[in-house]
Amino acid sequence: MSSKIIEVKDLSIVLGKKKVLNDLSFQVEEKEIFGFLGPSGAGKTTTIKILTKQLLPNNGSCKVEVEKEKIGILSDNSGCYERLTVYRNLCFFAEISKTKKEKVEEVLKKVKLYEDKDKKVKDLSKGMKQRLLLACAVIHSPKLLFLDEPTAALDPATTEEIHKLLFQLREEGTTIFLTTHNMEEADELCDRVAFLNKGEIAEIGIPSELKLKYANHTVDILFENHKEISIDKDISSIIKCLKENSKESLKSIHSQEPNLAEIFLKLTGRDLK
Amino acid sequence: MRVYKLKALFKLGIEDLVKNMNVFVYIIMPLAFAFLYSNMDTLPKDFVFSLCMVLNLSMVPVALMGTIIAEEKEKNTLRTLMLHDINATEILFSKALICLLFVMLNSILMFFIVGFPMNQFFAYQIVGLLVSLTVIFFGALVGLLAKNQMSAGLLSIPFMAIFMAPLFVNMVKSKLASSISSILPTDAMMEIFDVISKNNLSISSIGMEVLVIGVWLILGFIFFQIVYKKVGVDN
Repeated sequence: MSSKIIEVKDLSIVLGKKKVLNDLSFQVEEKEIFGFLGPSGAGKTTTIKILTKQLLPNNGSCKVEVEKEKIGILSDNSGCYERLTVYRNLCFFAEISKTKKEKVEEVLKKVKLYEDKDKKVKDLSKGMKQRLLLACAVIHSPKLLFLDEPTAALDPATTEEIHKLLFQLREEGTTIFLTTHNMEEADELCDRVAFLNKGEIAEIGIPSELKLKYANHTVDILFENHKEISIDKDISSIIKCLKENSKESLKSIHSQEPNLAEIFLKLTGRDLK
Repeated sequence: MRVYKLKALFKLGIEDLVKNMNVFVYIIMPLAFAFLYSNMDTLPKDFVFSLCMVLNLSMVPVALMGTIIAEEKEKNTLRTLMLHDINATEILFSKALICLLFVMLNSILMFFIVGFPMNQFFAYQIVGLLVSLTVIFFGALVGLLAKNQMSAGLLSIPFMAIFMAPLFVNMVKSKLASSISSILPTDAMMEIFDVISKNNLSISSIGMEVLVIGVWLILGFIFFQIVYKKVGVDN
């Protein structure tokens, strides 16, 4: 049975005059990828900053059941030593976390930077730098990993590489707290998601269940002659429709489920940009 | 403070510094002046050493220290370090150690470049180290206040000007300027160097100068604490 690794209750914070987070409550289970989704300015990074003790909340509580040295963080303003090589940078982060040097090569292979280990960081592409930062964040095999928009502005191939790595980390037992405004990414990666809108959680749950919850209560019946009928999603209606069109040959019956972006729009009236 | 983290930070800091020509100039310049002036027969050895030590102490602990901390902020590595369970004391202490290493390395090399007798080696180096410790607090202060390397450069100018003032005081021939200069740690250091070079070193002959250096050490620590509590290491 999985246990809670993060527990947030009634969390609020005011920055300047703006209430950035308002009575936020959620839990993150061990070994899951938890997606914290919302548009820019929704409060995602602020939440990570509170959970990683970079900011103190005004109200509420947050418990992170992992010791500090077992937490990994990749934030939007992480950086590496640009004049030094990929290998030297990673060796340094291994050294400060008392990780064995053999792990450096293993992680470099994992993030597909082994061939470029002798390159200086300043000569790397943006995608390669992001993979190096991710390597630095996971070199000490963290139990909990915070990722703040890890694939923002990266090309699809690098994004795919990072996704594969995140699945691998979860398999190895790492809990991942991920913020993103990319709904396709969240749908592909996350076991559970929370929609954050203007500092409040609008919805929380498993993506497939959310899609069913917010699905239209209709099914589309498509026939070979391109005839398409939308009817209520109940067995008797479907059977009745099929009987009425028994002379036609059936092509497909499918329900209409919204994607996460559509659910967010439905809940908040806001686009995720 | 954890020694293994400090050791890793120190090693990385040195490697990064020697590859950074922009700030390595701060280290090379006092040495270059020592080499240049020691070959001028008209200048006495103790004057050349004092001049180059003041340059060394104004540039390495102030400008270098300020700039390397500011660069960590500018390139986001400071934030990354703090998120990797390294605290501000460990970061600042490692930077101070790096600067002290280079300031003392310069001091030793300058001693040999100038060609002082070996029996005065430790006296010169101990005084140099004591004043470096005083000045380094102001370098750390620059680093705390600066947001990037450019502002670190600007902020270090007034501190460098203050610590270099004893070199120019004789040129202005003003009693007020001399009095102000006499309460600076670099002036006190030059006075002690003068005593050492004349082989007159005793507690009574340098009592006042040691007091001045001690007061600056305390002031530097207090100023640093105030600024650190106010802005923190990562503004």
